[in-house]
Amino acid sequence: MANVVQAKNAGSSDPILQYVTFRLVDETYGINVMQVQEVLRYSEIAPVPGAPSYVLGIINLRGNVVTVIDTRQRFGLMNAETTDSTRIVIIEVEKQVVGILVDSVSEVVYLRQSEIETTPNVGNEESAKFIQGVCNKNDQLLILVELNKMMSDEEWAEVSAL
Amino acid sequence: MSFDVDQDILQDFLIEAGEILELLSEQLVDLEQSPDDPDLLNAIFRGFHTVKGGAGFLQLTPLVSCCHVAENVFDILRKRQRTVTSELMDSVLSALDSVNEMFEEVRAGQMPSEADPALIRQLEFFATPESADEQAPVEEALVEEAPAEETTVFVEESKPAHKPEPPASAVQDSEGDITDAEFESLLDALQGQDGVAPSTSVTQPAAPSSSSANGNDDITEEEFEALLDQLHGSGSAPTEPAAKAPVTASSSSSGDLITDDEFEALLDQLHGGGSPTAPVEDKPAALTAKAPVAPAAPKPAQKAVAPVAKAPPAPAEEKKVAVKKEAAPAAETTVRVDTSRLDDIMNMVGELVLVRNRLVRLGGQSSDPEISKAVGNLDVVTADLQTSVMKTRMQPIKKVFGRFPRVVRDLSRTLRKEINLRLIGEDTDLDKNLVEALADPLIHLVRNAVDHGIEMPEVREERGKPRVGEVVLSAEQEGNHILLTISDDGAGMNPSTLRRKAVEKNILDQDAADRLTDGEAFNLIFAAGLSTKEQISDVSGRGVGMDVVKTKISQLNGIINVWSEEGKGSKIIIKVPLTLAIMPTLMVILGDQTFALPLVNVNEIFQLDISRANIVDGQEVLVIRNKTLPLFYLKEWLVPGADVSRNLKNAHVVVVSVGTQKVGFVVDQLVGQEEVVIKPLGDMLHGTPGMAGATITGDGRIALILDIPGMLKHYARSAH
Repeated sequence: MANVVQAKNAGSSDPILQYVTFRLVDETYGINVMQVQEVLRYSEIAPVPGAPSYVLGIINLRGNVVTVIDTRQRFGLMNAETTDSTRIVIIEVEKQVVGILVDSVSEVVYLRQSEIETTPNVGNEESAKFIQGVCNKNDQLLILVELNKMMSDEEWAEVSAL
Repeated sequence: MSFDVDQDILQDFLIEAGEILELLSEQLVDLEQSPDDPDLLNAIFRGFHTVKGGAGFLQLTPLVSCCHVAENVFDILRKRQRTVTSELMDSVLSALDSVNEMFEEVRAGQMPSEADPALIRQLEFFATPESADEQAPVEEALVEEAPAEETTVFVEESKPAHKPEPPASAVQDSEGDITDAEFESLLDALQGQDGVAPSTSVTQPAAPSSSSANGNDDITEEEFEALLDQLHGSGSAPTEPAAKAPVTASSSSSGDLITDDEFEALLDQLHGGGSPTAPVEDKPAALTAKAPVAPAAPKPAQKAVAPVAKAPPAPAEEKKVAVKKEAAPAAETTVRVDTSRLDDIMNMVGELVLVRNRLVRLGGQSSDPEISKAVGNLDVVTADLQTSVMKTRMQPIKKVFGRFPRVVRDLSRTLRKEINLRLIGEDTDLDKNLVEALADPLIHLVRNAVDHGIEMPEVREERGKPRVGEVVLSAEQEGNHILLTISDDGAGMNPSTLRRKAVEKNILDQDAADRLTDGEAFNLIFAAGLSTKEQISDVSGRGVGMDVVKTKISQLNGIINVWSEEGKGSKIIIKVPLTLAIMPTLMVILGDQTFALPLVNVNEIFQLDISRANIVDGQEVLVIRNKTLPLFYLKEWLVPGADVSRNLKNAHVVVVSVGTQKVGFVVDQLVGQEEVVIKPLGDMLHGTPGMAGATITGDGRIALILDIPGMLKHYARSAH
């Protein structure tokens, strides 16, 4: 940790970024730690009839109603049963608080900006939109997600038009 | 930002002055009714003065000059050098309008534009005493005037307590300003009362009370109260000799002596309070130390003089003290809180209630009496907490009602009608949001009552009614609802005319119109495009207003009803829930999910054999008490993939009304009636058809609140 801080001070041109990693099916994804509010155990999600297909429903987060997005559906993955390690990651994107449902949350990793590679042409078009870059660390591919694009542009427009 | 001021100070000014301006429009209309009320004149004078002071500090020159002339007009008025005429009122009201305009400009971040010079000239004309021959009665009135002046000074002086408390940086500047101005007005008062010299002593104690109040924003309430009390003590002493003065010179001179000393001491305090260099914390201490000294002297004197002076002046004095007492502490007890902070508190209280509920359930299982006692206590305290927090959001409906006197006055002047507006139940409290939301619909209704309802004075006389029409606006609380009625003693409505109009405008066909009961016919006025007015005026007659009113009221989960009798008048009754945040609902279960139906829409609940449902034009209908209503299976709409049995022997049917239409909903289970706190769905789900929001049930789960009209629109249509 100490050398991380040092490194941060030393190389401002190559800042250190922190990412929360989570797993979906067999892949590991990372989201910027600054956007993560908290991680919750799976709790019952109340479906909202008439909501867009990528919205799983809503949960009660200490008195506030929070929308939960179906990450698998967004990434074009198959639906899966919830398990003991299923988590809801509460994130804040453009002043909206939303939850994303993931298979499990692993750790917080430190990455240098230079370690992040721009997206290779992986995955289908649907998921490629949300990918900020990839990072190869300890022989593991970490896919960094651009949360702002979790909902496609039209959907953002749809949301802000309301 | 075209002018550069501290945003905090500006915001304070905007809020404070906004309230004063609202109050002013109310007071000005009152003044027309009672043009000789000295309290009212003073209050208006004070209002303009305060706005001027604030504007002056922010260097909003046009605003200052406009307020200044208006203030001068009222200064003349309260000195009885001019009487209130309707021309004067018109120009003062237009002055208020231009002040309001400037105020809006300031709010928009612009430097206000200059007021119409013609208006200013007119006001300046009114601000000069009336011609010389009218001067005489003023002279005569001098003796009578004196007590009036006294109250003037008293009330006037307590004003700084109302002043927007300028932030620390501002205190120093504004202090000097205010004290100067006040000191001048004090001097004026003193000079004005030369003939009744000893009574000046009354005004003196008032001065330090104000300066101490305004010089030390940090003074605590108790200290302020104590000071006031002491000042009352010292203040009452000299007046008694004052009354006595013409008879016994000796006692009056002794009274004067004391007051002189006292005045010196008070002046010292005044300077102490006004000096910006002295640390603020020190002031209260210094003041409290000094204050007792001042009253100490007059007190024995009062005792000595009292037996001689006797009762006569006492009641007058008491009155003044009462006025002052009312004015000063009232201004100190309020705190402005951002409504979003209140919402946060509400949210947390809601959570606390959930935790309590859980504990109550656990406590019920436990056999330990101590635990159940503690849980019981918690139960009571949280319930109280919840109601108190709710109450903080409440505002008296006066806020809305307050603007109607002006509306009615202006309208009746343009329409040349004579109308008396009566307000009942102004103190009824309701949710802040609701107060704001009700303003527009009420204005529509009041305008309607004035324009359509009340007849011209001549017509009224012909019909044997009093010349002056009456519009009554009343509010009362009825359980969890507020009942608002707008009634007039005007022409009323003719149901057959309404039917005819509805047919003419193609809203109904002849047969349907004929079948309407009178009550239903009156409700036709809410239909868009229907107006019984032959001519469109700028006041009303386009047939849009009532439609807007109805829509707005139903958005607030309210109900609106019309009653009318031709020749006698009309009455419109609005029933809205006390608050928007809490909604009484009927909880139902579909599949394994809970949904809440707003109780305002729910008419009745049936348990019946739905296999008997008929199908008309592809739509299932039920016949209940010889009326057919469409039947919908809510589960089909709201629980995807659920199979719905159509052969239930005893299904639960909830009959809801949407507008004038009734429909039946089949639900799985009924839970019961529950008051729920509405939580908005996030941005992403906002606008989902048929969903009004969500709420958290007693067990921490989520229940969706249905928006029945929206749901019907979305699903009933797509089903076809």
